[in-house]
Amino acid sequence: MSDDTPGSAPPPTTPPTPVTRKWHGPSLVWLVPIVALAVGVALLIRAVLSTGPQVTIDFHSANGLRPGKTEVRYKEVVVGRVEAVTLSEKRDHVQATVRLDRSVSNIAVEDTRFWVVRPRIDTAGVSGIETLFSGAYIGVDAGESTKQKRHFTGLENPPFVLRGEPGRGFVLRTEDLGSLDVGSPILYKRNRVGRVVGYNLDPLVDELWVQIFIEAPYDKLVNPQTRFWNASGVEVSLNSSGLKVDTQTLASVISGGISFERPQGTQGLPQASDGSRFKLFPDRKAALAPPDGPPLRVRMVFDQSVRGLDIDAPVDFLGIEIGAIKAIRLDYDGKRKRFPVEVEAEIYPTRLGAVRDSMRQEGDDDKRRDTTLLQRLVQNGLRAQARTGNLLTGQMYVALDFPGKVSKAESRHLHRHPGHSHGAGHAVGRAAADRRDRGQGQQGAVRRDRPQPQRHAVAGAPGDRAAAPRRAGLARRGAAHAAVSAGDIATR
Amino acid sequence: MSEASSLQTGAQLRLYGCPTCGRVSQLLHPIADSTPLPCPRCATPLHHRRPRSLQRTWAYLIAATILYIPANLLPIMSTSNVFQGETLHTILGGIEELRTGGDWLLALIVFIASIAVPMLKIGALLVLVITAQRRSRWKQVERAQLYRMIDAVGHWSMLDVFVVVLLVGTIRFGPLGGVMPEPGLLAFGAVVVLTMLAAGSFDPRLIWPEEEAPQRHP
Repeated sequence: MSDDTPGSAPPPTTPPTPVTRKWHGPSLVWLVPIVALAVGVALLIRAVLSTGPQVTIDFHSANGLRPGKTEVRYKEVVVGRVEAVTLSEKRDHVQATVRLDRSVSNIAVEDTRFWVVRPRIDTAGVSGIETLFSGAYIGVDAGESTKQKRHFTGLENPPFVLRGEPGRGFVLRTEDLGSLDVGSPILYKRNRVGRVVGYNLDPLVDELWVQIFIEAPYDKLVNPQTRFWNASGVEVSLNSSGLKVDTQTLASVISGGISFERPQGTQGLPQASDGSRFKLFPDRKAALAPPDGPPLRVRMVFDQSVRGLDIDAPVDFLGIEIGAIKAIRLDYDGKRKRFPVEVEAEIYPTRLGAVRDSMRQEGDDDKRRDTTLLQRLVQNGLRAQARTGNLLTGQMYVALDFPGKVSKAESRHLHRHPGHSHGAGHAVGRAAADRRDRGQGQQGAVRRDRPQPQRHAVAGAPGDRAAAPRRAGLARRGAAHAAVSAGDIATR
Repeated sequence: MSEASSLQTGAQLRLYGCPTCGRVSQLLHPIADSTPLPCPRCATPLHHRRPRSLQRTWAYLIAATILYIPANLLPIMSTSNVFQGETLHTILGGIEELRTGGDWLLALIVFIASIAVPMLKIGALLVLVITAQRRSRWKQVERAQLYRMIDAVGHWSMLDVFVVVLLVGTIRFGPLGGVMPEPGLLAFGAVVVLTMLAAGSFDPRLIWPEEEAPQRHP
């Protein structure tokens, strides 16, 4: 194979133009490693520069955290990634090592908060749905401190107020939390405008303080006169006015909520300042009712059964609801060998409106004046009657009325009442009972006078009135079988 | 091969093998050292030893070694899908994933193709270059076999690059998912190319150094 065509290669003739490549020194091929070095260094520098600080975050559980996969997001922008998840030395929590991006290296400051975003169904509704597909991620709320920090403790739940979120927080005072929870919505005209961000019990005053956050621009709706009420769930009330079902939004039916409204005529008031305190009313009616002022405790004595009369049943005065029953208890009248029923009610004299102002006598003490007003009414024939309010349910209410044909009334001043544990009452109006129990065919006034040495009469007057027959008829119509019984009316 | 010392070498006989067309030519008259010798058939410059072979090999080898670091440290590709978002993959990470996933065999194959072979290539070339530099006569036959092996394996290490390029080309579902190449792939491809160049520029005749200085050894 050495010689194929020409037996021996002819001596190569020197070409006319010899190639002259004169490069003395190292070969140009050394440019290759230099370029490689430059490229390699550039790649590595780029990689190093793009990685930011490494922080560790403690979590209770590594549920959903996957090294190399789980992202750290700030305002839904990926700013880092979990590099490793390890158990702590004591094995009571897990430690996620997170590599943050260079661009957000200043995010790792003292008051920065981290939490794991997972699909969550709680009182605040459903959140983190997107993580069903993408897997959990770590949310960040950037702090404002300038102090750098590298070790954090992760929150178990997302914070309810993010820094820089526009809006204002308020505090509501309440005695009962109801079904409210952190995250419950704040509704304005059934429109979600905020949420409950926390609550704590103040043991000193035995009151709950509920912190709420109302998002901008709805926070402008809150002025110092704004009324908040608990709009939790379905409110079914069965009372003398019938069956009433009241619901808020479906979400608040499930999770509870707070509604607020500005009473008529207060729309123009300036906004309430951040952190203002408000009272949380149990329902809308209570919230928007004109302020009642202090209640007056009244005691009534009935000679017949008060079946159908419940706590919180209304007390009417000529059809106007002026109070509610607070206690019902049995008594024993040893002299007459009877069991009178004592019904205690709270009435709000302010609900009498103009009547109160025109009929009241002058005086400096408001409560005292209300007491004397009531005493005068009793002297003029005012009696309490238990009437059937709802024929279907047999619910009863107490009507304060002038039934007429009352023989004698007496009002007494009460210093101490043995039946009341909290008997610090100061006034009693006692009226002699006029019992006209049509069901049992009894007619006429029965004068009851229980020996009560600790009481003494303040005023007593016969209470016959001209309009008695008409009122008696009214009473008959209102109460078919219930005794129209004028009990003792006593104020304490 | 028993009388290798008595064997006349091509240089002694002034024979030149053309690396391009394979023709063997004989120099009849001694000529000046700097005179270029083109192959009479294909005009390829003829040399007894490829000029600056060791230098070239060294340069390529060093470049390959340098780029081998980012090739393994940097991600070679990123995959994204609706469920996971963007995920970066390094070669070692991929092997680890396969191993933990239970695919021992696949992990082994990827390891051999992507980690072991390039490393062995670089190492073997280093051995060849160093021994050639020292004109060593140690295990010459084995070294020659090693060289042939390196040359043959050559581009097979590009498997990763092919796979990634194929994935990038085929998996493109817009917002649903996709595969994108990352800088590590560039470095990895460069390593493979550079080791091939290093093996190509190495003159295997250097495995067999001659006793006396050759007549023309540029």
